[in-house]
Amino acid sequence: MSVSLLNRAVSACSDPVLRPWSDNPASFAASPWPTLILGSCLIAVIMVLLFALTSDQQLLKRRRNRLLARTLELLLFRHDARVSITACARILKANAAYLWTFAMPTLIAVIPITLMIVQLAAWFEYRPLISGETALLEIAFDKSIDVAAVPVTIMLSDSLELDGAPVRIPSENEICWRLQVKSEQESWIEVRSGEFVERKECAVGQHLIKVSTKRTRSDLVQEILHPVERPLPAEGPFEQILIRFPPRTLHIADKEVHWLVAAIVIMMIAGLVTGKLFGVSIT
Amino acid sequence: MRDTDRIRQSAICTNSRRRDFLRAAGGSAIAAALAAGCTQKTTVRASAGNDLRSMIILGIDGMDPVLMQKFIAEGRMPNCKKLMERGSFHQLATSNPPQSPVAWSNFISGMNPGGHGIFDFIARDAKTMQLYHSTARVADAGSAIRLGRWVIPTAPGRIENLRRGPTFWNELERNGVDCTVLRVPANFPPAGDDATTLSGMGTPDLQGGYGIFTWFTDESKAVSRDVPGGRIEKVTAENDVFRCRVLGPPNQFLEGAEQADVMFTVYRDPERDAVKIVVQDNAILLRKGEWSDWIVVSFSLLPGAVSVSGICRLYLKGVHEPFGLYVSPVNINPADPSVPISSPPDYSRHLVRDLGYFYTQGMVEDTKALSAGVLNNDEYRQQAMFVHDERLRFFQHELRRFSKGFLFYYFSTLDLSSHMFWRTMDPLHPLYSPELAASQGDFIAELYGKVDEAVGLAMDQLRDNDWLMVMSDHGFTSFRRQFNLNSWLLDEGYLQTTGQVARNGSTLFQGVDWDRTLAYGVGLNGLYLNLQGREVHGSVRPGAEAQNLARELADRLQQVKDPETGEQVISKVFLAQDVYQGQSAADAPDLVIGYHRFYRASWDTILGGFPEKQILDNTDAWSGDHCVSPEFVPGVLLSSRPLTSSQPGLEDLAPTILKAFRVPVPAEMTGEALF
Repeated sequence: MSVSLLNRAVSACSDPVLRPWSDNPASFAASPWPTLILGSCLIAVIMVLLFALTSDQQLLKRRRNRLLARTLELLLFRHDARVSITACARILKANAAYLWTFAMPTLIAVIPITLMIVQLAAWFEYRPLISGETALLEIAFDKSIDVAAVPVTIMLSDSLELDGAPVRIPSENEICWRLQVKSEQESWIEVRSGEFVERKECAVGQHLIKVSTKRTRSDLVQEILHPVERPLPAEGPFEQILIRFPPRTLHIADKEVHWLVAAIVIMMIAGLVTGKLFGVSIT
Repeated sequence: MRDTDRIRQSAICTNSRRRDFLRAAGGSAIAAALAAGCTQKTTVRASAGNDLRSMIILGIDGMDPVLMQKFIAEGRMPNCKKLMERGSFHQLATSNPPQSPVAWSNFISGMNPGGHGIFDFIARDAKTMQLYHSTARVADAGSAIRLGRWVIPTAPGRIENLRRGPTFWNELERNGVDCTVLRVPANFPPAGDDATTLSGMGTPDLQGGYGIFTWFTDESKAVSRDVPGGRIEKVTAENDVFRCRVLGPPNQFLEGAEQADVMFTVYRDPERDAVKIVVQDNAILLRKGEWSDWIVVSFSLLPGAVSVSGICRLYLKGVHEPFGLYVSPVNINPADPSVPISSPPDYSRHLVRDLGYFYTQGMVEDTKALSAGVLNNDEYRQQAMFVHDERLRFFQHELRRFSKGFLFYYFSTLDLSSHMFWRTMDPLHPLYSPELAASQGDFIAELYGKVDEAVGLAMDQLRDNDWLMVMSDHGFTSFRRQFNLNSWLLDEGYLQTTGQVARNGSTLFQGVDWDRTLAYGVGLNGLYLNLQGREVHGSVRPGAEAQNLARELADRLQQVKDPETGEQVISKVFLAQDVYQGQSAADAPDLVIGYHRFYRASWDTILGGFPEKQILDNTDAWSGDHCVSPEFVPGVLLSSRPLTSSQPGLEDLAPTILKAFRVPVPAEMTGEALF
């Protein structure tokens, strides 16, 4: 299964859960927190369930108890240097064994969790453009193309316009434009060079919606990191189409918080609570 | 007689000379405006101090009473006219010397400089003879742990506000009056306590000074060098790519505290006049003649652990032959301030959330870039209008939130632009030309009109039980000729050097033989005796010897004549003991030089230089000034309520504000309530 298909599958699962919240008018639309909390809790629940399915809870319990016993041994016989030293070695061994039992379930959980966090990033890393704002549109071309001479045409949805002529950068094989938002409605950019035409969506509006900053050629890492749009065809002239959206800022008590830090804290709390509810030990 | 009383009396008698100058400038409406007299009082609707709900004070730095009346007469300032008719108008006696940090400290504390301790922009440490900014100083962080080239301080450094004495807003807050005081000068770091404050003039850029711009150019004749208030960097393109380096704060974590920096890359279109600029995570597209919006830059001090955030704006002056990119001084990022700039500390973050990034540096209008020829007149005007428009936007924001209590708001653009554009109005200024007057002569008038718009906004909000005051710290005069005080002292034998010292280019008293020096000039108006027991290499005995020397210097300086014009250069020399009283009077310069109109201390002498010529033309775009004898440059006081005092001074305003809210006036305040 390709990364692209996997992304679509994850999107298909997560979007229906997150979108109703984000589409809600007024307070929910204005605040990203309900969606972030929901998304983070969802990931935490999946993480706990995956852990429950892939871990040996009995073995985990035994190894944790053994680690505890070794620690007690060190405490009880701390006056005896020989026992203390050997107890330290036994603690290390017990700890390694305990961590080893986590390794496999963690490795299994990492893949879907990463994909889901990348999905969350599409919601929270950047915000859509609003009316009157400008953003940089950068198109990187294949190395074989001379950007100083290549003919390029940009078609835009009615909500967008180009603000002046482009800047051609031969050293980077790139051409960039300044985009301006005229109105807040569904927006897109169509790039034409020769017979090749590619379209890129452009998130515009005040609501919480997914923002796709980049369309890139098919590449494992890039596809994982930019899951919202299909990759660009390898045979085309375009290597990458990028719009520089403004970063989204989240605040707690007037302090700016990175969305990922907030999401990880929520996931940890939700994971501990869910583990307790389902009787799954994740520590 | 108090210092201000003398200034008030002199202000009245010197007004006629001022009229002569403005008539010469061709202002036919001035006579009509002045015919109304320098002090007007008209019918009022309410008595001052009764049932006060709120008070708004607009501080307009450098608003000149004569110009204001001229523009009122021309119909450019309808709101000020309305305020004048509704309440009262007075000339406001300024501080001695009439410099903004001194004047605003008088306003804040209700004291003369002898009380609050700010005597000039520049002060000197008598124990080391080092110069420093008079309003704030960085206190040493103390001991540190050294790890190779890294230095880890064991305690954080501290910035100290050097202004002493009370602030009227703390007295108000203590008595339950809500206060918002925005951008008042000489309040960095903010002495806010419970009041909402944002620091103004005196707030440094990230390099720690009044603001250092950077000019990147590939002009063939350009050489990388420092210029006053800026740095010129010669850059060369490789495949139409420029790599540029902007300097940030001194890195105190590194031995030698070398400056942190941020690299950015400029990609030039080979044919078109446009570039793409990449600065850290930001990328922007700029065309020739465009200003960027604010760009956030982060200077790493301790990799992965400590960084300092700043904001700057770029201006693309040229793309091809030559390339020219102006980078503004890097301002403290108000969303993530590395030093306190507001009280409560989160207030600046709130403002960013509500209104976006804003200038935090104290003196924002980039006069140095205009003086250095990096920005031309039109480009400076654009930048100055950004500042004014931003201030107006923030003022409107505060007005919307303000319902009762006290609000002070400060506008700076008129002052700094009067400094730079006076040459467009004074036909006798060395830089004046009819062409310049025709193309730029409207700017100061335009700014007075803009200030009037702000007054109108405040008046719209005014109810019967509110009080609005519009005040300025000083007026203005032309700065045609400059006087090298230290050169005069050297030529007359009061200042001695160790052997032969190159005089042109001298600075910071390099080569001065302190053991044989009797007196030295520091700052724009200060003259110090080299006093035994006070100065580290003092040579003048305190007591009779010092007093006689001070009188001798005062007499001789007042006799200095300009050999080219025959005019008196210095109107009056004030002895410190005659004009300063209070806890800080001992820190004052021993003499304060009150220059005659059209004269001022040279740029060289204020920082301890002593060039060959004593008196020379001022050929800098900085062509208007107010650092003269105070009676020449009174400020403005417009009030929506009547005032009983006919000769108000700056230090009278704090007691007036307190009395208006029925708050006891602290004993240290030497000013008197004006109603």
